[in-house]
Amino acid sequence: MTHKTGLPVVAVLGNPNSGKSSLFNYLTGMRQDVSNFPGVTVDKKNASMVLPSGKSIQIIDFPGTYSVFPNSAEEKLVINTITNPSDPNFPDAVLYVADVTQLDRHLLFATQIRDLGFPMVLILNMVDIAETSGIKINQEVLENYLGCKVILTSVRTEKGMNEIMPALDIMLANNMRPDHTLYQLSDKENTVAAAVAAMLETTNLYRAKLIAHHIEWLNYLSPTQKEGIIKINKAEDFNDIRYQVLETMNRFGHHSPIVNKTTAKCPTSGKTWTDKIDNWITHKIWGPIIFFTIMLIVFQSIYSWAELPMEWIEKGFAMAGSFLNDHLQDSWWSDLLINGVLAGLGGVLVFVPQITILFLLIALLEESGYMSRVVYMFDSIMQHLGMNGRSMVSLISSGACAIPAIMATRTISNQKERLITILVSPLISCSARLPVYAVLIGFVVPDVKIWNVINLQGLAFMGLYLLGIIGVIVSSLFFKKILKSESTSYLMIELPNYKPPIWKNVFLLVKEKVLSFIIGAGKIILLISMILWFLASYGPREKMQQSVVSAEKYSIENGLNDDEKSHLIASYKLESSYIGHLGKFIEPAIKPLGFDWKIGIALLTSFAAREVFVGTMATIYSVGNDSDEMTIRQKMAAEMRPGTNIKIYNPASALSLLVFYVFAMQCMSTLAITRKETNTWKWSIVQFSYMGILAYLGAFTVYHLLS
Amino acid sequence: MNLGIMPKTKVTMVRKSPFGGAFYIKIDNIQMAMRESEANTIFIQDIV
Repeated sequence: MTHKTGLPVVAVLGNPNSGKSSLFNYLTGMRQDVSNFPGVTVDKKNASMVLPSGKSIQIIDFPGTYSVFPNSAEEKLVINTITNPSDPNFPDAVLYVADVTQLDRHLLFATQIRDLGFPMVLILNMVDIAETSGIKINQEVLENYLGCKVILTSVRTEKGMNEIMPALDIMLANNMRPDHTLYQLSDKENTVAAAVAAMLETTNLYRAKLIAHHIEWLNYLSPTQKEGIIKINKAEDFNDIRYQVLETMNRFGHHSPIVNKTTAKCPTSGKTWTDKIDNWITHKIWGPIIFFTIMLIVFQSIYSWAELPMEWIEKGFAMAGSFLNDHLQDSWWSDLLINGVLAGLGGVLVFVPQITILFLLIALLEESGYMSRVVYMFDSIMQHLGMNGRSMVSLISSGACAIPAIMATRTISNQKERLITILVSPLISCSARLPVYAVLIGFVVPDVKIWNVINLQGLAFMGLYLLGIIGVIVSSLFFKKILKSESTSYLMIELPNYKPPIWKNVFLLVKEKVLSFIIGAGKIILLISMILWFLASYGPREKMQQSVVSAEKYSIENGLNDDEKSHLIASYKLESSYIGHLGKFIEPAIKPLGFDWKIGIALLTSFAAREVFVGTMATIYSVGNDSDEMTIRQKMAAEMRPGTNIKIYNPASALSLLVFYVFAMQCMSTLAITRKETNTWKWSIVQFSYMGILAYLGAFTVYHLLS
Repeated sequence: MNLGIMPKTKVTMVRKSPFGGAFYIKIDNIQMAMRESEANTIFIQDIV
């Protein structure tokens, strides 16, 4: 068999919740390489490893699979790969991971893998939990039945982990393939399989049977092969669902007694820990209350824990900027480096603390088993909105950043539900909107307390979040109506037993996601901020020179000091730059919302990332970059509409601007991620347009109601 | 069936979800969540 890397491929297979991925993470550690399986957005994690004998192998972690009769796109991918010997990921051997406390169910897929003729090592995982619940394991019975090596492990206590690599070595060296199949094909299956095997020139009858069974969607057969096999199926009246039931029952009938001999169970006494916890956590009334409390704690910790590191990053970049400013000669490239590249880089990295904390907390909730309870509790609400219980996870993540939220939609198997979740997630107010809210909210709501406790501005903050949630509800209902569904929706998930998280695994998960944010979103933000830098630094030559002259003249007339003068020049320059012209160009369009061209510029620059709004305002009102939000606010408060004494930032226009920021899709990175996850720009454009329309209408309504 | 819900398996409905629609079901020693429609299919396969 030839593979791209030339190395033998060992596939890690097993049921969902078998601890398969934790085991893979443990074995491969930092050597992982994450990519996509060809043509689908299913993460393919693989790693090159060296066995004790010095032999190199490639280990691939496949999506969790219940059996060779798939229910989801991810499971279909697995079956497509393991039934096609010319697939580059086709395994030479299998490391099968089963949860020993669920052995009966987890063995179904194992016996099928074995009958497909793969050399296999069976890992019975979670022996620590089995031991504490009084299960005794006798693996020899199982070894004899399956004809393969069985290893008892626990990723948590590291038991048996060092036996895995040597066992792989022995297996690969001896190429230990099973000599008989566990499942005897019925006469009909045999006839069909023999005909298919002859046509495809394969010797494994069980594989031939599966190909006949799944002929409708297997993706590697030629049209002629497909036609031929469909003909065979018709001629023999090979009714697939009946044979699936037959095979599954037959397999369980054979291995269930073996499992009973392997694992001697003590009679379980009454309710387990999980039952007791679930009595509260999934309770009709307490369940949602506990959920919202947990969410409150999560967000509170994101904001409070991230504050300090974010400050450090900001200060670090400011220091680096001023250091370079002092030590580099004034030229266009040093300006690009400082105000384009460095500023862009800072804009990405400043979010890393928040995102890391969010991912950490979500990973903990997921590892402990809580997330599947959330899916269960909120499924029906999400159903009304055309989404799935799993969408809840995305919407929660969106509170920090829409990018990881959109990435998390991969677990939703129904295409329509997934698409709606992707489209509406950015409406939840993310952390980048916060600085904007902070600057503007003072113009709408006074900083007073009701009953000395509740801060009115805090209440307004909550209102903005609520507005985002209302936006989610309205638009998901809209998309539910207009989008067509291709597949049926279903929900069937295991609610795994609660268990303490494996820290190494959590750490790896967080690291992987944070890196993919920095690299994925970082590239785009950097590019956009460089383009914006260009647009803001350059303009028609004459006008640019003129602006400097008039700024200098104004400074002399009014006796400004050097600092004030340079801020003024920057402000005048911005006005005559390309982006200043753009701002003036769009002014007629945004005037009905109560915005002037200066806000127009900020709206345009916000496209790199929303929080750029504050920096742009600082430049426009020539207060310098290092000033705080209060100074900018004072400047803005004094701003009058030219020729009148109407304030630009009155409650009406400020609220209109706030509403605009709640709804508008001003985030290049999110659009890029949507493109990546849906494989077409179409949905990015849809997302951009519908959110834009929502923002415009919302702002328009608010402005005209208030003014 | 792939999940190992075999004939003669003891299936207990533990509770309904807070907002309706989904069931918390216990099958032998495992907990599962599913919608009414899926729960119905199990019943049918149970008879097979």
